[in-house]
Amino acid sequence: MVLITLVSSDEQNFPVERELLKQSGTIETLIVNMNLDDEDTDAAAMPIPLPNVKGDVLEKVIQWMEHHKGDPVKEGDNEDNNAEIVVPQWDDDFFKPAMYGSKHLELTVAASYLDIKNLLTLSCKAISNTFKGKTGPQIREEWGVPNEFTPEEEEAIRKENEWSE
Amino acid sequence: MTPTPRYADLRSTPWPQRDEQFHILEQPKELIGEIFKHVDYDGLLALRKVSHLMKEIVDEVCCTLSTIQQLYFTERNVNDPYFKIDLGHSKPPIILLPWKHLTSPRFNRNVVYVNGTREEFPEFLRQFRDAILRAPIEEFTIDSRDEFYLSAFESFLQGLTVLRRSLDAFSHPTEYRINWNIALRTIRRLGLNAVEMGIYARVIRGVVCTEFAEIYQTAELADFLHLRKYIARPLPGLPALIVGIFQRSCSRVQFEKPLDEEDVNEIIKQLPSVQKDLHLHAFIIKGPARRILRRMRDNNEESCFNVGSMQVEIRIEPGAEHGILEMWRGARTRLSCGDIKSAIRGISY
Repeated sequence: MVLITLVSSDEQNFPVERELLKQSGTIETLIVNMNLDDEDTDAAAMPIPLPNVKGDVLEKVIQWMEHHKGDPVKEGDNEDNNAEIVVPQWDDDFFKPAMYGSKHLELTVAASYLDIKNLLTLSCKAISNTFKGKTGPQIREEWGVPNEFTPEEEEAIRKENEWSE
Repeated sequence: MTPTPRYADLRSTPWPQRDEQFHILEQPKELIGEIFKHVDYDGLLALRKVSHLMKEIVDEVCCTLSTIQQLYFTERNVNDPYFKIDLGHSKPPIILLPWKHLTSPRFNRNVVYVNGTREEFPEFLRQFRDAILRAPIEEFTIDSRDEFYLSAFESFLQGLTVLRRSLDAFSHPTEYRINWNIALRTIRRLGLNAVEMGIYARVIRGVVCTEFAEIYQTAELADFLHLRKYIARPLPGLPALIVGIFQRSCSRVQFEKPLDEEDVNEIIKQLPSVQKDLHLHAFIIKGPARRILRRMRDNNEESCFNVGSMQVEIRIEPGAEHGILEMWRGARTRLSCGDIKSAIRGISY
């Protein structure tokens, strides 16, 4: 079993199965381009630095990849806009403790940086579910967004959306 | 540097806690947009009320997300200076439109009506096109003979992906019949591939006289004909009409009014002689349909069978008003609006 070491921005080492890393477009490209999975070369021992991902977040990413080992990897961006994405129960439980928090966002950013399409989609979908049935002020409060609209602007937007209310 | 244990139990490795905030508004717009793509329609409207940036991103996302299942345009009538667009089963390009055009989808949230005056139309169409530039349109139907609207839609349709471009020639049939050339010219100009039209007949001294010339002319241009007849009495020559249509460029026909048993038998006999891929979807009066199916069952025959290289199916769907006759060679392609509706998946409102 080939192990490849990932190094987080806070310099934690994570030896990860080569097979798991196929889910990450970014790492996969690096491995292929630099021959990192060739056990006969020195390159195999070279760790991969991930300066944009902190250790604790990388650990969550690896946990997710472990669970989704062997899942088909989504290719390209040609998604069907109408296709309803359902977050599986395991993933829902995985994301839930971090919901409404910056941690879930960090994981989403990491998924984007590492180009793990399935994780990015599910993570985005999980966040998007938190907006369901909420009003603007409720979303603002939950996500700690300050109200920057003047009363006039608020009224203008209210009028724009009036037809749907 | 200590390696983190792999295969760690999810519960034993809690989500990281840190003091510093990782704020949604500080993330790249593309990433926020990626999240917003999954938000339902009401959620998007709510997000527009959160902050300037969120409003901006929602509007941008809607540009890339729009999907129009049905776009139906009608100029209403000659004396009415308004136009009307129905957007059925469509994701929200609408939030980019000038609000005054929109009426509440209160009664049917799957259809949004856009109303406006003739003067507002060019600007409306420009904004609308910008909003749906990347959106595939499943079905575009136009019911207009007004040069003003036709030329506007000529440029509107250029560069858009439209699966079915249809002319609705059901309305004002007598006006159309006066000069069917207008309809034919419209089909050519807008590159239409489908026509919804009537079969016209007159009763002269108790005899039903039919005129199929316009249908044959149209069948040379359109790939799909959706035919309705305006007369309750049986029409002579329907099997020959259907065969005649398929002998031209048209390869798909939907016949809306129910056929009788004699017509069905004749069509099954004649149609296999047309040597090309085609699909006929027609209704059968329920009594004859039952009789045909009973006869087939008594003879141990299947309701789906082959005639030469052509497949035939006769069925009665539960609760349906009529039986159905389908005949096809090659792929059985989707035909009706109802089928399109049933094919729509997961649109959130």
